[in-house]
Order: sequence, then C-alpha cells, then structure tokens
Amino acid sequence: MLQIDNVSKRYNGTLAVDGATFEARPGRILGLLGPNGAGKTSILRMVNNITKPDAGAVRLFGEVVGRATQADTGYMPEERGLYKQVKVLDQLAYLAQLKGIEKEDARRRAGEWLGRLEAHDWRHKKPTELSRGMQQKVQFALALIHGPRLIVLDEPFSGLDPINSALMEDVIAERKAAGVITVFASHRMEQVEELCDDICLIAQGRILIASDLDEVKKSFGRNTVQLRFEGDGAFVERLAAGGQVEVRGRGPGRADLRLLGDYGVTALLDEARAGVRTLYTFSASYPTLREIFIHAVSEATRERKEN
Amino acid sequence: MFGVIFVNEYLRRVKNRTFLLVTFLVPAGIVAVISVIAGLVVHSVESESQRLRERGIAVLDESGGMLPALREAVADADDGYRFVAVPGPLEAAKRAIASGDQHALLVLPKELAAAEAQAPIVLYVKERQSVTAEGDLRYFVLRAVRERRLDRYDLPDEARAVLAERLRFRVIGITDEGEEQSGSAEESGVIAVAIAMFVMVVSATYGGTVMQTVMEEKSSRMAEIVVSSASSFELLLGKILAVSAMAATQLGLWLAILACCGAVAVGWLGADPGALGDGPADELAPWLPPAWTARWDVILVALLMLPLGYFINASVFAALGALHENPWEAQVSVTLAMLPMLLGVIIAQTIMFAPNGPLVVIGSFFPFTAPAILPARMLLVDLPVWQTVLAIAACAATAIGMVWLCGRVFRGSLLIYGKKLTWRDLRQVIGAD
Repeated sequence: MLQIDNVSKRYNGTLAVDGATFEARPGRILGLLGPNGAGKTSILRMVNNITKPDAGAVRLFGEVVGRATQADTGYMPEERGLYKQVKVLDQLAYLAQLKGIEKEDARRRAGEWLGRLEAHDWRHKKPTELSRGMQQKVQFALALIHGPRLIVLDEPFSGLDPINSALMEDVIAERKAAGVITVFASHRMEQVEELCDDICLIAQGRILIASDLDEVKKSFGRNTVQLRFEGDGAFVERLAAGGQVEVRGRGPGRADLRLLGDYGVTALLDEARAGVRTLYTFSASYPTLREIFIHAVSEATRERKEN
Repeated sequence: MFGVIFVNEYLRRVKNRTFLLVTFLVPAGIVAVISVIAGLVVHSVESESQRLRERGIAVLDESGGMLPALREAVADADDGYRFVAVPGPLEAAKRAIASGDQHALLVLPKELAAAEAQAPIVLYVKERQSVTAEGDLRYFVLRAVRERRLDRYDLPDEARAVLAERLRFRVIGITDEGEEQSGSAEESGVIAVAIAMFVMVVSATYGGTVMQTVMEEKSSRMAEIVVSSASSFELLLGKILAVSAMAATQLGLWLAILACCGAVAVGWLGADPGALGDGPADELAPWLPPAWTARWDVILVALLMLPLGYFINASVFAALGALHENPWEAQVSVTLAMLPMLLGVIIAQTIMFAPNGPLVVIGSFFPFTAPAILPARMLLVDLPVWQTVLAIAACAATAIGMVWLCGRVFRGSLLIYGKKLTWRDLRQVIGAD
C-alpha cells in the first residue's frame, strides 16, 4: 500500500502541498486529479523519492520512501523524453539496470516490452527516427520494465491516438490484475472515470476528496435528471427561475436538468407529475467526475476567498 | 547505480563516431600541420641564409685588420659566407650596396680592436633577415672580434681555451638530513606553469564536455526518470568520471599515436638518438639544466592533484550545465568559471620569485590553484608532511563537496523546466530536499 500521511511541501515560500493524506491500494488504480498547479506533480515527486516532504511521511508497503523503495517504483513523469542519440533497446536496458536489473536480463526484458507495446521493429532505432506516439510507448515501457509494484503515471495519454491509448490501457489493466498499485494523474476526466477505482482530488495543495470513486459519486447523490414528457413542461422554467435546477438541455417534450442545492429527486418527480400531461421517462443519475471536479474545486476556491 | 551510470556514459562516448574521428584524425592533423609549418620555416630560413651567403656581404672595415679575422672564423667553421671589402666613407658604402649586388653592409668601427671600445658593430640590410641568418653572422663577427682582441695579449692556447669555456652554475637544495634535492626555482616555475596550463586546458576542454552532457540530460527530459532511480550525486559523479575516463582514453591514445609517429619519423629520417652527444646537443650541454633526479613524492602528489583539480573544475562546469538551457546562455558563466584556473596560471608564474611568499603559500592550499602550485612548491621548499596532506585533503574534500553541491543544483534545476533560474531559485534548489 502507498500511504501519503499528512505530507506538506513548500517551494520558495509557497505551500505546494498542505497536509495531504490519502492511500493507494494494490490491485487498484488511483486517479490523482487537480487543476494546474494544484500540487499533483509535487506529490508524485515525493512518491518517487525525487524530493522529500517538509513534514509528514510517504510510505510504500510500510517503508518510508527512499533509496530502498526506488526499485519498487516505476515513474512516467509529465516532463519526459528520451536520449536522442541512444537506441531504444539500449535506453530501456540502461534504465532497467538503474533499477537493479542485471544487464542481460535488462536487455531481454527490454525486447519483451517493446514486443508487448508493438514497437519491436523500432528497437534498434534512435528516438529521432520515431513518431511521438512511438516515443510515448517507449517512455511508458521505461516505467514498467523492472516490474515495479507501484506505477506512477503523470498524464500518460496526452497526445496519444486512440489505438495506442487503448493498448496502454490494456497494459495498465494487466498490471492492476497482477496486484500492482497504479497512481495516475490526468486532466482527462472521462479516462480517469473509465480506468480508476479511487480518486484523489487536490486543489491549492489540499486534498478535497480521497475515496473510492463510486462512493464519491454516491455521496454527491443522483443529481442529474432526464425527462421525456408530453405537454409544454412550463414547470422546468419555473424551477430554473427559482434556482432549484439548472437546465442543461431543453427541447419540445424533453429536458435535461441538474438539481441545485437541497432540491431533491422526489420533489422534482412530484413537480413533473403535476406539470405534464404524460411523463414518459424520469431518469436520475450520479454526477460525472467532471461535475464533481468542478463543484469541489469551485467550493474550495470560494471557501478560501471567504476565509 | 554509480557503476551502471559510469559504464553507460563512458561507452556511449567512446563508441561514438565523433570520438573515434577526433581521436584518430586530430593527431594526424597535428603531425601534418606541424610538418608542413616546420618544412616551410626550415626551407625559408635556409633559402634566406643561402641568399645572404651567395650574394656576399659588403664589409667596411674601419678597424683595419678585423676583416681577415672574420674570414678566418668563417673558414674555421667551414661556413659559406663571402665578404667583399668596400671602401669608405660610410655614406658612399651604403649607396653602393643600395644599388649593388650585395644584400648587406657590415660596418666594423675604427675602435673595434681596442678592448675598451664601445662603438657598435652595425649591419645595414636591404631587407630584414631571419633571426637565424642574423644570429649566424653575429656569432662569427663577435668571435672574430674576441680572437682579435685576445691576440694583443699573446695568450697561450690553454688560456684561450679557459676563456672560451662555458661555466655551469647549479642550485641544489638540501633537506634537513643533508640529502640533495634536485630542482631549481626556474624548473619549479616552468613545472608550475605547465601543470596550471595543463589543468586549465584539460578542464576547459573536457569540463565543456561535462557541461554539455548535463545539458543533454536536462534537455532530453530523462533526468527526472534517472534521479528517481539514482541519486543526483551518483549521476553527476558517474558523468564526470565517465568523461574523465574518456579524456584519459583520448589523451592516452594521442600519446601512443604521437609516440608511434615519432618512432616512424626517427626511422624515416635515419636519425640515431644515441648519437646526439656527437652533434650540436653536445655544445648545448653546459646550458641544459642538471639531470633531473626523479622526485617520486612530487610526482605522486602531482598525479593525485591533477585529477582532483580537474574534478573541481569539471564540477563547476557541470553546475553551469545544470543552470543553463544551452551553451551560449552559459558563455558568461563559463568565463567567470575560468578565472580560478587562470589564477592558478598567474600564481604559478610567481613561484620562482617567492616560493614562500603569501600568494604562493595560499595558492598551495586553495583547492582551485593547489593542483598546480603544491607540486611545484614541493620542488623548492622542504614542506612539512602535514602541509602536503592538508592541501591534498582540502582538495579532495572540495572535489567531493563540489560534486555533491552540483548534484543538488542539478536535481533542483531539473524541477524547474524552461525557466531562467534566479539567485533565489539557486539558493532554494541547493537547500531543497
């Protein structure tokens, strides 16, 4: 298990991470979400022993993160690249050796990973001869080649085409099935929603939400409602004017609404029954991760301004 | 991890096509350039001397009788100078050679034969001659004048031989135990300057490579991955040592190639190094420094201090590589970084004048200058062992400290991409964990 325990980090007098606490468990994928400058990269660097916390502790399988845990960690940073003049296979083997793998084994593993990521034909090429997508797959392999028990991926899919994204998603799923802890930082909410079991939402260095994704959604309740009906549906405009709902989509006999404040699903159902001739569909669903993200960050910003 | 970084960096550099080309083509280029230049110089000097000899030299002998002595001296040396007596006065003689065949007019003044005469011997030339040609002529003229003056004293040949003898003056130091120590102030000065220059040139050349490799590490965006696997100290140490090993390989190969070229040249020219004693070297022998008895303590200290000096300077270059995005941005900083090395060269030049002066004493302990100054000072001064050990320890500690410090700068700077570092950032990255 990866434990971030009341961790703080300050740069140039600015508090980048403020008492962060969360966990990432084996066989699960944790999505680390936050706006730009929220402190995600600062946390990932502490997890990878590149920087150390000013306060608190980062533990991996009970051991404080340090030299001893580095071989258990695979990292794909957001600012990444490859040695321009070194062949792909040699780069992979070198990084594997740095993680403690013997030379021959490192070269064998490098060949296997390039095969798995459909890049075997490029093993003797230099990065300057590769497409951006192909380079990204090699960078992905760099994080996995030594068989780490924790994988840290910072925006792994940025700029990648759907086919290669799917290929990498398959590999991440395989690692998850093998019991690996995956921490995945991204701005692509739909991808996080699709891949992650847990989320950790951070803004201005503070953890806003850290929990099982389904639990988070349930805690926000079913606040999105789709209505199909016969009649003019004038109640929709009335509720919107009263600040009880936000109209996200509207048409003849159709309305997509988001419930605001304490206004509940049951109350809306009563209004709908009374306000239309026939109610064909009333479908309430959980908020999307994007909605949760925007809501949580906006609330945090508002609270900070008020304080 | 350090070993992996070192081997990888070293092999990446020496298995590189550029390295092979530079290593094997540079000595060939140097030999070719030196050969061409030497050939041209020798040819032009010889042709100038030959021209002077063939056209002859007009001589206005106002001393009356010095010209035969000059001809005799030239004949003794079997040299080909031809002297043509011309009548005075001086202005007429000058006009004569200006419009005549002769290339030069030698004026031997009236008072020349007198021992106390101070009037100068003058050579008027149409065009300036080479130093060699003028030197040859000066030798014969002065020899003839000396012989002519000695004739007045009717000296026996033995006395003339004594006067012609070149005496030697040696300075030999002695230790507290009364044992001789070789090495004069001049030798020490030359050695100090040579070592300081060597450290500066090697540091600037290969330090530049270290700076470049650190910049590459940053620009390749691999640094963050690498320092998540190894410490920045190991990474920097591996890089500096790998470039050092590459430098040693390259310098070793150059030496071997030049030695082979030298052996081939000797064989080709048919020269016999063992026969040098019969030639001009024998004449020069009195002026050569006394045979240098190997001072193994000095050699050992020099061999220890040279890599330490290189290490300190290479670390500074590595830090500059970490602080800048490209070489042209680093130019001003590189110039500043060269100043301590230049200081070593400057202090080295003063060592022969004041080996125990405050500047030299401080220089032999200051880690940036000690690699050049300490071994040279050891040649002149019987340094207590503790001073030598202290200077080496200070150098070694500085070298390790510099690599550590540069590792901090490197690790800190790679966390700030695409931003020009301020002094505040620098202080922060050095202090950051």
